[in-house]
Amino acid sequence: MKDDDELEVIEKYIILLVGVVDRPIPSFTHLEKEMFMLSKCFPIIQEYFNFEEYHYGPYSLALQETVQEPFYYEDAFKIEGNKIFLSDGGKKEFNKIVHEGQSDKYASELLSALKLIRELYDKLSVDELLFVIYNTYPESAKFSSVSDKYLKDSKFRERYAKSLLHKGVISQEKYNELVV
Amino acid sequence: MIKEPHNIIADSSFYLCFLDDINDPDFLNRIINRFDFYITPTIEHEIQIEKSVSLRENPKMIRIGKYIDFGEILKPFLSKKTIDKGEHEVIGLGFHFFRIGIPFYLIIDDDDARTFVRKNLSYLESALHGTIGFIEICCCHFKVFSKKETIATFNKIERSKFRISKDIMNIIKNRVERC
Repeated sequence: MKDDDELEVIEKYIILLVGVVDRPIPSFTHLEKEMFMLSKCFPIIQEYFNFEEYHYGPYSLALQETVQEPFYYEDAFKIEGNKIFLSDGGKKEFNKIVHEGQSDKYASELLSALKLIRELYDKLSVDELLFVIYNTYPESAKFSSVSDKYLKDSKFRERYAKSLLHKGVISQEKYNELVV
Repeated sequence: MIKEPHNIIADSSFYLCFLDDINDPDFLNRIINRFDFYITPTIEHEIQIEKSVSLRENPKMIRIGKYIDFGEILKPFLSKKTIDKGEHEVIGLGFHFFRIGIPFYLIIDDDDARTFVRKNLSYLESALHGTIGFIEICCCHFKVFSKKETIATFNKIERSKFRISKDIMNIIKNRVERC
C-alpha cells in the first residue's frame, strides 16, 4: 500500500510521461513498458513503482491503478480505447510540475529521458515492444506466460526482428543478434 | 547569429584515434583545450581516463556521471558491439543537449550508431560528424591546427588501424587544402 506522498509522486511521474509529447500513449502496455524503461535509466523511481515480473513482463500495479483512478490529480488522464492522454486539467498540471522543477538541475534530464522514451517506444507495436523488452531484460520474463513467443520461437523472433529492421530502429547487426 | 558549438560529445573511437591508433596525445589535447568535452561513463572506461593524468585532470573534460543513464533507453535497439563502445550513451546525451538547446558537435564513427541517429533522431544529424570530419572543422573553422599539421595527421591516421574509407579521407583532405 502506497502512502499519500508516494501516490502523489507516482501521479506526477505518470503525468510527465503522458504529457511530455503531444500525442497519446498508444496502449497500457506502452505505458507500463515505457515507465519501466524510465526505471532502468533512473532507478530511483523503482521504489515508487515496484516493477515486478508478471505475465507480460515487467509490470507495476501502482502504475496501472493510478492511471485508472488517480487520487491527487483526479481528472488528469483520459482513456479512449487503449490510448492514454492528458485532459486539459492534466496538461495544466503537467505545465505546473515542469515549472516547479525549473530550479532542479536534474529535472531537465528527467524530461529528456521521458521524451526520448516516447520518441522511440511509441512507434513500436505491442509485439515489438515486448520483443525488445524481453530480449534486453530476459530476467523480466521469469513469470511470463507469453515470453516463449518472444524469446524462443524462431519464427516469431524473425518476424519481429524483421519488422524492427524495416522500421529502421535496429541495424542489420542487431537483427542478426536477435534472430540467433 | 547562430552560436558556434563549443560543446563536444564524442565516442571512444575519437579519443582512441589519437591515444592508440596514431599515438599522438598532444594533438588530442590541443583539440580538448579548445572546447568543452562531455564524457560519459562507458567512454571514460573505454579510453581508460584514470590512467591518463592529462585527460583525467583536464577541466575541459567534463565527466557527466550517471544520475540519469540516457544510454539505457537506447540499449534495446543497438548491437552489443555498439553498446560496448558506449555509443548508446553518446547518442542519449546528444539528445538531451538538443532538447535543452545546447549547441554541440556529436562525434560518432560507428556506422550502426550513425545510421540509428539518421533514421530515428534525424534532428541530431546536423550536429553529427566523424572524427576525420571534426578534425577538418578544428582546422578550417576553429584554426586549432594549420593545414600542414592537419594533412600530416590525416596521413598518420591513414596508415593506422583507424577505419576510414580512402574516398572519404581524400574528399576531406581536398576540403582542408582548399579551406
